Amino acid sequence: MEEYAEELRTPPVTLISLVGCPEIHPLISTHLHSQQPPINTLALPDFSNISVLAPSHKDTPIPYSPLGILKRDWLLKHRTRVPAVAAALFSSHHVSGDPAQWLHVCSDLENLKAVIRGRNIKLLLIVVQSTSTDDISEDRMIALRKRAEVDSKYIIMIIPNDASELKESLNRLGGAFAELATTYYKDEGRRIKTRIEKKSFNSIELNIRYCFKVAVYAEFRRDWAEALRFYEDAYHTLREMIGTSTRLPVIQRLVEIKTVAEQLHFKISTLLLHGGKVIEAVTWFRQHNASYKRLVGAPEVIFLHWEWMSRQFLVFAELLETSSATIQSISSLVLGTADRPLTEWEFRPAYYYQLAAHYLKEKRSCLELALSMSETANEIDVSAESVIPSVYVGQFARLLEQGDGFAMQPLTNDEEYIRYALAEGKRFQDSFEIIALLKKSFESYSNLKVQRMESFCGFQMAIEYFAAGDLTNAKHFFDCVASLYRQEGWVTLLWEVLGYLRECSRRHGSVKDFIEYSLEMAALPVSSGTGIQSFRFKECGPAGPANLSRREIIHKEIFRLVGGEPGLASDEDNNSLKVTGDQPLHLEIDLVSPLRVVLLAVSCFS
Amino acid sequence: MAGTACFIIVSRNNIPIYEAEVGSALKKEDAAHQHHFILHAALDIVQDLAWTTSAMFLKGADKFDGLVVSVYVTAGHTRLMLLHDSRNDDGIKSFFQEVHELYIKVYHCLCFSVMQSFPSSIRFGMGLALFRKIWMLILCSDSNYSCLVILLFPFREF
Repeated sequence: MEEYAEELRTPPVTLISLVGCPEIHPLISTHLHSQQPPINTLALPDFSNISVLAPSHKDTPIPYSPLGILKRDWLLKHRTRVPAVAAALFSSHHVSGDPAQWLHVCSDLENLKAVIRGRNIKLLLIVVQSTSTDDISEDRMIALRKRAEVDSKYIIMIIPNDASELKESLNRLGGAFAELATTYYKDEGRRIKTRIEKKSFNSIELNIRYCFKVAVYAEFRRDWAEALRFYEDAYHTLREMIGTSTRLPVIQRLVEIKTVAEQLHFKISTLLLHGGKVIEAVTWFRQHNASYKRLVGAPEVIFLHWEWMSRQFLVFAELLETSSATIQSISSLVLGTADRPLTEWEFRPAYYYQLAAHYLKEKRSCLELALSMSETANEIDVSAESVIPSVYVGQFARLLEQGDGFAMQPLTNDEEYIRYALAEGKRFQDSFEIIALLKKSFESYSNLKVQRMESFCGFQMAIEYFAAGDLTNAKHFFDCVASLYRQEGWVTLLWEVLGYLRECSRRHGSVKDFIEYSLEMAALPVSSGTGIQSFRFKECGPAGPANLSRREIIHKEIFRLVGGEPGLASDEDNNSLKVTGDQPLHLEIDLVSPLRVVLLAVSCFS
Repeated sequence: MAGTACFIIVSRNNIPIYEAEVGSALKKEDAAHQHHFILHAALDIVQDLAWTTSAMFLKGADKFDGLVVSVYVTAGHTRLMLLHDSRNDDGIKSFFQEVHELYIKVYHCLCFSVMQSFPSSIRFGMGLALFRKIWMLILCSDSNYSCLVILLFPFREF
């Protein structure tokens, strides 16, 4: 979730602007920020700074065909640069002063009005009085209101030196700002909604963009139901775009769609979870997963798909974890519909962390394959350096130097994008991330006292440690899970774990452990169906598949070792494992030792 | 049954007593031992779920990466577990019912042979009620004998 921009992660907060009289800006902004809901302030000390509120002039061709679905900075712009209300602050001395001062006030006001008109920003007037005895003529006030073209309730007097008056004025001011801001976001939302209703656009991208904007405006005024509806509309329209859009090269097109879908899904899930609708959120996530799981894309960049899938699970796990709604007992929830029931785990973050790790593993193996197949692996880094995210969400562009400045040029072909994606993929160490995810899942299951799920995670984590060369941690987790599989008699699983443990002890040079694990493996009642299983277990542990022939090999190895023949090579200190007459080996077999079966067999047959 | 499927019978003591890869094709051959891990992990949820319903067939009890675990819990708390990727609840249910019938038949054969081992004087001297009691006792503690069932009557052949 940290990967997402701040403006996407947090609900939008109303923004207003204060212009003029900078000495009382801190007073007003502190008050507005402490309101419920809070209001952010964009403070402009002087009327000469108002050009920042002006809309950027663009020549949009008609009919306008967009180059992307969502603009990357649109949300940030509305949260930090485009206020809903502009408040012009004038000192009472200037308002009631000589004609020159009055003229100055009027011209400042006219300029401000001209600037904010382009964006439909609402106007509010604040007159700052130094004392309550300051008298402003009624005519001037009427003239000021007429010039500003605002209702009388939107002219507010503030007396900073009078505590009781000030509190009342600030409260009135807060109310007026909130009211005007709601009107602004409602008007803007309505304006865009009209475009959707009239279908006054010629591209599906604009439809999605408009739905997104309406939803954001609804979020600004805390109308969560409308926001959710429009985010869902945008999401469904986007899903229809797959296979129909031809704007970008194939790979980049899918990347853009998935990135936008991710943002929309994030918003929908957040709104559902914060609204306490846990079942709906989980069902929604399941549908999201089902819709996109099969869209793996081109074979060269399948790793991008698995990375994306992993992120979906990770983010949803974090959302579930942070959502207050999950506090309620899961048993009280009606688990899904009759034909597609939800399992209890689907309400637990641990389940999603585990799957995030699973998909990240898929990503790692696909990336390794892609890198090994790439003939120009060394050139990747060089050409990918100047590629940066473009102005549209999910798109990338090349940064070109043009004189003193820079210009962005869209990536015209997929080859260039693939090189960039591979270079980016190489930068990250997925193993650490996989271990971190599995650890979260492991701890969560262990808190829930769910032993078997915990063991499954522990086993996967131990394999990662083993692959990363951290044998101490690997052994610790393998030992934990082996005891459960031993206790419950799951021979195949125990064989797998013991195979790893045996390999760990061999690398560590621990003869005693090596012999103990080997003897236990040799005594396991493994399946005799060797023929079928031998080719199936391509990716089984270091002990190979659980069958009689492998067991026999282990048998022979251990007899050779105990018989004093040259031992197996150990990684630690280059010592080989050996048992000699000078250094005999003592194995303790107590009542609960897993080697009791071995002892029994030895006693029976010797 | 198309696609991936792994079938396991787990005794009341959580010990696997029979396992088989069923289905016409294995999607990922190297994932076979992964199936056992998933099925074993699913026992946690099954043990909770089994007491919340009177139904023996628990469809979609657990899920992992597109694979679904369906379970059939017998009266003696033996669990017939199937890991599959296709959605055919009716087919799976009837598969479980057939396996359950066979399981009972094999099991009864064992019980019969156990009863046969009693001396005839005792067997015929017992009242019918007592005979029933012993019979029920054996039935309820099926897991104690289930290992023997597999040893004596290889399930792989049905």
